[in-house]
Amino acid sequence: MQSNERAINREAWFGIAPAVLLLAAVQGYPILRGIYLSFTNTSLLSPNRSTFVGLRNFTALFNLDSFQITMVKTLVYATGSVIGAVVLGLAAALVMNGAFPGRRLVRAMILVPWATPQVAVALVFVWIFNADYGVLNYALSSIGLIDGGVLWLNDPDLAMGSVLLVTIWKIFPFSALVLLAALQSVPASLEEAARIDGARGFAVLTEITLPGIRRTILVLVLFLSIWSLRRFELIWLLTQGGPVRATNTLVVDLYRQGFVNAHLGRAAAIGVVGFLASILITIVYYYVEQRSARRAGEA
Amino acid sequence: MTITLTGVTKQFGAFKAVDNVSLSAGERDFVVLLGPSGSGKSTLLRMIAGLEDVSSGTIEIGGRRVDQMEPVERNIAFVFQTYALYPHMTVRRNIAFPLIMQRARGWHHLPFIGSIFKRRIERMPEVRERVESVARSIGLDEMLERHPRTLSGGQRQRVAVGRALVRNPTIFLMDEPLSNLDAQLRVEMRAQITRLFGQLGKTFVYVTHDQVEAMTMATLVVVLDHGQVQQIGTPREIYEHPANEFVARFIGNPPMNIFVGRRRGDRIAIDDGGPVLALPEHVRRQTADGAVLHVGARPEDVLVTPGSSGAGTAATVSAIERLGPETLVGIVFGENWQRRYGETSVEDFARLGGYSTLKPGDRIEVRFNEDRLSFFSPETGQSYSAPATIQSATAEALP
Repeated sequence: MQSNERAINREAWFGIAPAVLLLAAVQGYPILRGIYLSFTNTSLLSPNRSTFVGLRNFTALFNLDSFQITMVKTLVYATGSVIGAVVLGLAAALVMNGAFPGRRLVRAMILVPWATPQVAVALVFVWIFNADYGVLNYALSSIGLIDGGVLWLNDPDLAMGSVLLVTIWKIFPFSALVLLAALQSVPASLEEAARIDGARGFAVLTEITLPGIRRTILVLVLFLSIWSLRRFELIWLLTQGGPVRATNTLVVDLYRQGFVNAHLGRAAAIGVVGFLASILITIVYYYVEQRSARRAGEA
Repeated sequence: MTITLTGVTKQFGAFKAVDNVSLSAGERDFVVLLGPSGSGKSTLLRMIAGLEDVSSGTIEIGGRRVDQMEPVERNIAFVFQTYALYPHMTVRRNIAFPLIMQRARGWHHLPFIGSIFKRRIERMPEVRERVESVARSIGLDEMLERHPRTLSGGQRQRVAVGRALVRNPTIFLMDEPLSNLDAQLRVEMRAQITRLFGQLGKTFVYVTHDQVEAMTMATLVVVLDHGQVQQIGTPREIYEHPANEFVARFIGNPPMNIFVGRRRGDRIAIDDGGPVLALPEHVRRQTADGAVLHVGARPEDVLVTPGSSGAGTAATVSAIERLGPETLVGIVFGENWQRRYGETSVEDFARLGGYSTLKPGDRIEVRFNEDRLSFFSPETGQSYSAPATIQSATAEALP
């Protein structure tokens, strides 16, 4: 019996070996290599010559004021884009979940930002935000809200907001679609029962509908958070992390350290910090998910 | 509370799901809306509840017009076919939910922050006692802290009833509440609902396609087909004096046998070579000599004797279903018998008490309980009713 089981186990290992090897080669090795790099002083100029320096890259990073700013900016960017995308996506999903003429068209249209390549989005918005010729300033000043020349991307106080705006516009269709699918899985009879029990409009939404899609929202927040930690092209193309580090998130900083300052070791250390942050978010997700499963009497 | 529907119609585009329904139910009526699927019975119930708008017509509850009101303002309870328990709440919170909604202010509905206030309302003595006494009355007091997911079908059904009870509504609406239960539990819950009806003394409106539920629970049955009322009456009236052939065929299992006959003088002849039966006076008054009629006989009014002595009409046994206390006998008459429902059912049925030893292929003789037959117009399908009969039946059935 036992040897039989062992034989089956061996067969199973043979079965999954190709996938494991492939993952080890394309995922495992780069991760390990990146972690190793973070303990060296490797330079982009001579990537094959490296000296082990222990935790020096990390201590240097955390002693830099600029890195602390980077962490704060990353947190603001991640939180802002996740909340924005979930709230806007939920609103869009609720609208699309209702019956109205032209619903199919709206459902198709709403996907446009998601389907547009990031580079195209960034270039279009650079022009929209342009202080002198941009359509945004033109529109706002023609209705008298501003008088000309707002530096949407070049004013340190506005840049993060502008970048967030573009990011949310780009990613909310994804959350809208995911949440729409979840909304359609909430039985209509639950909302009807709540109406009979005395819940009205907003209360039906918060008492019945949102708890019904709670777990989808959790997964969505997990994905959006991790993606926002690694989003690079959009920010780089809009602001290059500027002005004065106002939009300098972790990955932008990583790129700057590695490929502008040629300090691969330090860039790798930033990468490790981001990696740990993603793991931390995932752990929090599992904790919350387990707790709500226990509450619902599943465990 | 009384319920009065006047000309209630529900139109989805050109399709009339409910077509000009008028009925009134008394203070302590158990009204069963009965009909095949697509007959509009659920839509009608949902209109009474306020879950569907009324296209035209009016609905009054206790003399107050409600058809433009929100569901909660009508003070009704609704038990859903799927129970519609809130899966993220405990049994206690499910039952308390209507009370919490009564007492919660707008901002108590905010996510996260609101949960503190809702818990506080749940713990208020009056709410707590009400929830616990309702739970005790339906045997759920041991399960208050559990989630619906962990309950059995019957327990979930009881939670749904508890949530309906807690608000002390004036009218109970139930949409096929037993159809998701297995046969044995269904019998048990049927008795419980009947008991509940007796204890509460309130008006119930109950939707089902199951005629057994209608016959056993109702004080008033409303038979619907294609959105129209076919007949309103007590279970006994509906069974013994069906208003038309639809009701005759829909109620009863197996359904009423229907034959084609022709009036000959004061009697009616069932086809060539068939029996000549008595024609009641009220039918004679409404028909001319020589008229074609449809004659309906319940299976228990079809009397079967083995052999061929010539005392009845000769026939052959085509099928036998022994159910224990009774036996259903499928019957094929001579080839000349013209059948009203010839295409959908080739055989007629008789119901015999006890365990019959008849076999398919046996020769038998058939007679009829002539004073218990129904007669329908072939053109309209309507019964040649004797108004006096139906009135007396009503008087008998109502307590």
